[in-house]
Amino acid sequence: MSMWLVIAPLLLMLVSGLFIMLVDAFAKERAELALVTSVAIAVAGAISLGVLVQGGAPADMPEVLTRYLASDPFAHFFDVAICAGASLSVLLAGGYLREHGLERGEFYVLVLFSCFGAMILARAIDLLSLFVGLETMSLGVYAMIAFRRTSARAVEGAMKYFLLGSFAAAILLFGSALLYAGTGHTDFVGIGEMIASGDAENRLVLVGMLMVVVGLAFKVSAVPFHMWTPDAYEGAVTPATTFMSVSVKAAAFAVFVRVCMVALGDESVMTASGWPTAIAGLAVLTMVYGNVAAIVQKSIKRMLAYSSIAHAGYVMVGLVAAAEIGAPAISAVLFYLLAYTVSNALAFGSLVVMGSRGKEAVHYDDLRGVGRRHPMAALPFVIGVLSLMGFPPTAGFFGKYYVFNAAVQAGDVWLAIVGVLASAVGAYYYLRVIVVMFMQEPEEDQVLAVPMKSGYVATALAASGAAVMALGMMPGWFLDVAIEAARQLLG
Amino acid sequence: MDNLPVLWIVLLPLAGAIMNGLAGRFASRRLVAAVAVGSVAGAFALAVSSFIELYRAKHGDTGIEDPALIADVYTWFSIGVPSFDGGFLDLPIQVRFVFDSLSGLMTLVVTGIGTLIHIYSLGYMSEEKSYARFFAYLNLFTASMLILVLASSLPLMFVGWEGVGLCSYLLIGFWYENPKYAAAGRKAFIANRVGDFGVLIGMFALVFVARSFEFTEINAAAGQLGATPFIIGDAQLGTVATFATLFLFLGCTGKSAQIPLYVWLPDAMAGPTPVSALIHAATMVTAGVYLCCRLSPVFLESATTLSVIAIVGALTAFLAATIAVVQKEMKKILAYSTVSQLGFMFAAVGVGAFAAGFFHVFTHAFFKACLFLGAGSVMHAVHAHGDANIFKLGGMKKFQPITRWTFLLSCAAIAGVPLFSGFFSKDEILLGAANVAFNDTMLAPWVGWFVLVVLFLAATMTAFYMYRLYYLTFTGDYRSAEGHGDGEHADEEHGDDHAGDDDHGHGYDPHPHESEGSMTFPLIVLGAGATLVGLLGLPHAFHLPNWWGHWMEPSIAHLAGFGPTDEIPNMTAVYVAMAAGIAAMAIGVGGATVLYRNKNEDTFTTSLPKKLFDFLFDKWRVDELYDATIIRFNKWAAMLAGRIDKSFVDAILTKWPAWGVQGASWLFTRLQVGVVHAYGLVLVVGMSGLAWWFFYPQADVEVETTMDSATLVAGRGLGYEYRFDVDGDGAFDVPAQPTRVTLDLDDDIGERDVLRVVALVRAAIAPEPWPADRAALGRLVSASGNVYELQPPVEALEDLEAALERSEAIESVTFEPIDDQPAFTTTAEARGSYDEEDYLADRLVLLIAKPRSTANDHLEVGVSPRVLTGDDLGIGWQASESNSTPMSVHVTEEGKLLVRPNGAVVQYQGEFMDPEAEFEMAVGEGARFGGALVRVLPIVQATVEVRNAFGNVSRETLDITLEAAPGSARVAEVAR
Repeated sequence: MSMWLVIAPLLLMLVSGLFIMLVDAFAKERAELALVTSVAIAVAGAISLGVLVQGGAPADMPEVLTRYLASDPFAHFFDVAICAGASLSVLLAGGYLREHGLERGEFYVLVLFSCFGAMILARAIDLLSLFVGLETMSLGVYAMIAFRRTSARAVEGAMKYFLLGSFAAAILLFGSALLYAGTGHTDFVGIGEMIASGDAENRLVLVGMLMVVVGLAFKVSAVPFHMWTPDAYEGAVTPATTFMSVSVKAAAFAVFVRVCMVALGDESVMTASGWPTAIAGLAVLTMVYGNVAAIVQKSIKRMLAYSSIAHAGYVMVGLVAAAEIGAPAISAVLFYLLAYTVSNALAFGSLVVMGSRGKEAVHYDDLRGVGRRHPMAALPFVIGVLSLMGFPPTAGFFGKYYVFNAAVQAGDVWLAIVGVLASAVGAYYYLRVIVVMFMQEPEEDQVLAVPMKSGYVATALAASGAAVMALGMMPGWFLDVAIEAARQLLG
Repeated sequence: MDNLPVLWIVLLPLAGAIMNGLAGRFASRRLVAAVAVGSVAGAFALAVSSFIELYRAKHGDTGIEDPALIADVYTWFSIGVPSFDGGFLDLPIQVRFVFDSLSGLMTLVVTGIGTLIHIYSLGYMSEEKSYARFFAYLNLFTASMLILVLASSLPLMFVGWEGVGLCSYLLIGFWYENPKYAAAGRKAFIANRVGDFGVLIGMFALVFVARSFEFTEINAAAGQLGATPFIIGDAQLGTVATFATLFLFLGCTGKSAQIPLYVWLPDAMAGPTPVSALIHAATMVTAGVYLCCRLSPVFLESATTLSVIAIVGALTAFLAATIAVVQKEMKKILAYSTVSQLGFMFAAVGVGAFAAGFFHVFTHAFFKACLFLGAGSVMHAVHAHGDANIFKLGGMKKFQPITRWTFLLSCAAIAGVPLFSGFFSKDEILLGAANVAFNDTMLAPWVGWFVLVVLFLAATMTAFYMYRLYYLTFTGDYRSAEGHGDGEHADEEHGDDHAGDDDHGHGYDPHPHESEGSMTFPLIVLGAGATLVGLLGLPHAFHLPNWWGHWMEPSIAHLAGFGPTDEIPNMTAVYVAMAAGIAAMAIGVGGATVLYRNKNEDTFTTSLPKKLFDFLFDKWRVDELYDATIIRFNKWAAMLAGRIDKSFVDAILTKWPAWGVQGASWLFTRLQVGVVHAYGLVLVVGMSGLAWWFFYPQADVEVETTMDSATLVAGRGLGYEYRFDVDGDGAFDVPAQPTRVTLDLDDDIGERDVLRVVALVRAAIAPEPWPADRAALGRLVSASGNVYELQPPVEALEDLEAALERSEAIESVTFEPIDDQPAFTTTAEARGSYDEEDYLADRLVLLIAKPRSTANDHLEVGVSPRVLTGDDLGIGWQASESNSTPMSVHVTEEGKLLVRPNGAVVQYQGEFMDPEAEFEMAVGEGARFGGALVRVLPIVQATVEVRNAFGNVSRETLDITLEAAPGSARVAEVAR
């Protein structure tokens, strides 16, 4: 396998980002930038999938590429999830932006560069590349949230996320510095070895670990570092929300897992008062808070924001289990994130398709009776929320099953029980979508949202719907790939 | 032996049902009719060929006593049944159809009469809108009935049993637009459900002894079923056979309309008349009798059940006959007549004449089907819907000669006119009763007398009301012809049940006509059958050929010595039975002829006292009684349950938690204030929480054990330092760095500070389970004549004998086994004597102390004395009331266990201790208290302290119970 093929996805992001920028500057209004962008990202994802299936990168990669970035199956697996999420978001944007008169090329450029950052993040094996990737990804997202410049909400959400994000980045950076000070290394493996050898300055390591964990927990929006999430998700244009909730979250989890399992993979920081118990506590808070707070939301977008918080909790359950049983739990995390990516993209896409110019569907009330009036538009939403709820035979069911199963195998039965109870609470607000669509009629004087007609959105829905069903029908294949990736991560 | 045709007998009607049910509404009527009739006729043809094959096998020299054609289809599912040795027995339930002497005949009846009634329905239902639905139901019924009949096991039979119940419900409520008819369907269904519950209980009761659901194996185990007592808790509810058969009979009272569940059958006449003929006369309602015959060996194990069945059957026959006498509608009279005739069949079953009962099933199928179809033919002719009032009919013989003649033949059959079929079958039943009355059988003679007398009365009334029906319908003048139109209005509510009916009680079509060929053909066939089929069972007592008895001989059991082909020991019974049958017929037919022949009004029943007439006409007001009691109670209970559901389940269990979550949800969203510095604050608070966790160490001690050591392992945290206190004295013994410290138990136990002591009790296990039906093992009689009963289970005999021999306190003990089973027989002669009887009691009590469980149990003992009871030690400790100061133990300052036996037998270091003197046991030593082994274990304390890089300290203290014995030790339990 050629070295070029391994780094082709990254290069493709960069090149197409620059290309779109140029084209956008000169091209006419109707240029199909969304098509180009989504195809570019999909191709990048497909290349990664090919590399993944073929068994990963060659051993003789030049040092310049391997010093800061990994090219292991773990990274490629996340490439697939990130690119799938980004590509679907771009397709949604292609329909959404045009419908709502926001069609401006920079959105696609932002997605491309942000996606590039996310892929760097998933590959990061050094504190430096971690930070660079994180900031590259985040900057794009801040701008994306504020994309609807005239909307006060959008700007408010972007500003909040930016301020808090800077704060968290500072904490992360400080933590990184302390880890370097404590161990003399910035690469994850070196840090791990120093901790294991016992020669590290333990007090610095402890404080550094604390701050790095907080910084990453912020990015995955774990409670209590989640406060920015609902505002940012709600303020952003829906395709941007989609991108944040899937690709960004997946990339953040990728580096979270890598830091925990490689840099902090020594027994001395995993037992007693180490990170697993701390993260288990965060997971419980996140699952309970996310699900419970989602219940009273009137806006579906906000509900999905809280739902994405809750899902971060489930993923962290898998991470906790990984400390005990290793690869099987990590593979559950990988599978979960892939399943969550396509399910959430499907749900957001369904929300996008529900509205058209002049009337966007945002609240539950906007969906009243849609199932009767436009059954074909409602069907993807049904599949999407069922998958998010964890209903067999959709992707979400196996995601939850593998994660909770990993927790049980690791002996954290109580964690699995909390997770199951919390997701039972979650069933309420997911099913409410179906109830509203199929069992309620609109008010007399209500302005009805009319589903939009867009080939882009339809394609996105069809693709994500098919993926949800495929992951649910034959989860074994994806899980096998994930297990192999997890094994190689742990060496 | 796999027999495909037998399988197809079931599959053909099923296929017909599926085809007509799914596609019938799109198909032409001709196609629907062809599928419906063709499938059942095909099944009949297969049944005939199978029957011939069976006949050949029976009469050939195959050497098989009771041949059967078996179609093994597949294993439906398997269940686990607890077996006697404590494990589970895997019990597969087969889908297997058996065509033998009994089921073969029944299959012929079901398919044969079924075919005729399908043909009849072609004409009768020709004006019906839901033509395909009707035939789909009818085919489904046939298939279900065939499953019921051909099933080889109880569960599969139950499938058919439920299936026919379902079809019955669907067909009674066939015209469901009429709420009355729909209600009749529901009534039938509910009454049947009550019975079905009985069948299930009976089925499960049988399987626990018979270890099989197959009829053949249950019958083979009949003797065992009759000998095993049925015990729930401490109560013995007769034998398993009695218990099970009584519940099975409860099922029969539902399906076969006996007291107390018969009330649904008269209402079931709401369904189309062919349905009444097929389901509610010829086949389904006889399923109960069929089930009794199938399991006849089991029923014969219980005189109680048989007596109950006989009495219930006879009473049902009588009750229904009295009602039928005064009714005014054709189908209603026939319905009560069916209930009454079913009563006859059950009376036969009850007196042990199973073959006679089944013979009556057979003959009844012909004449009652013919009567119903005849009634249907009349109704069809006059365009009556639902039912026909006989006082608006009359003189029908002019219009309907074929219907009239077949009806008359069937009347003669049911009335028991000699040489007609009903005569022979009824005579066999009366003979069965007379046999019980005149001979010494397992049943009380009064049961036989009771059945005989009541059936005589019922038979008399039967003959009377049937001929009343015949004369009022077919002779005299046609009372609905023009000019007669407004004859009778007294019973309008009974007369015009059907809302869409156009005659409105003002008389029927003035120009009746004979029915079409598709309806008269079945009448003719059935009429001929009603006349002739009795010849199959000529009375054996007069040395006439009784084909029926011979055919049934291997399949159906009978009262010992009174089989249909056995030599009759007492000819008196034969003559009494024959005389009773003929007299009943003569009185009934004669009376009816005098009173009703060519009459247009009913002078007899109207001459009855008004109150009696009303009482009978209102069917003994049983429905009203049920309404006022059971149904009212049920409605009340349902209302109560509904309230509880609303106020408890929906409110407290559902709404309150929901409100709780919603409240929390609201609270959480309040936190989302939207101010960015608040968000930052929350972030900082969260980080502080994590900091607290990371900056303080956790001891996280785990204990690893081997056979003789325990190792304390502290959690390996970043930069932790460890200190251990392993002897519990408060000072740290191991101050330095290792993360693990091993306690070597053998060396250290003695010197360790023992906090408390645990007595580890291991109850011994009895080597043999004790037979459940034996209350006591035997008695011990002491020299002074006191008697002690030994309760099972006891420990092994060796222990008992050895202990008796060692016991010097017992002068002479004689052991008497209670019954003659040679289980534990011994006599012990002992040497010393003792003056107090109570002491002897204690001794014996301890000897027989029985283990209740094999589980280890820990009793923690402190410095204050602890009384030991049998419950503490996991042993039965009988008669310990006589012991005023029970045994006690406590821990001394030296950490030893001080035992005060207070008269109990204690074996310590191989010696029997002085029962009145206290002694000490050291840690690790064992003893035997009564039947229990006891060992003394120390509880020691260990403390682990960890310190992390920030100098923060945490410690964890564990109480470790050491199970120590010389050469081996391990940690039994760790408490934190």
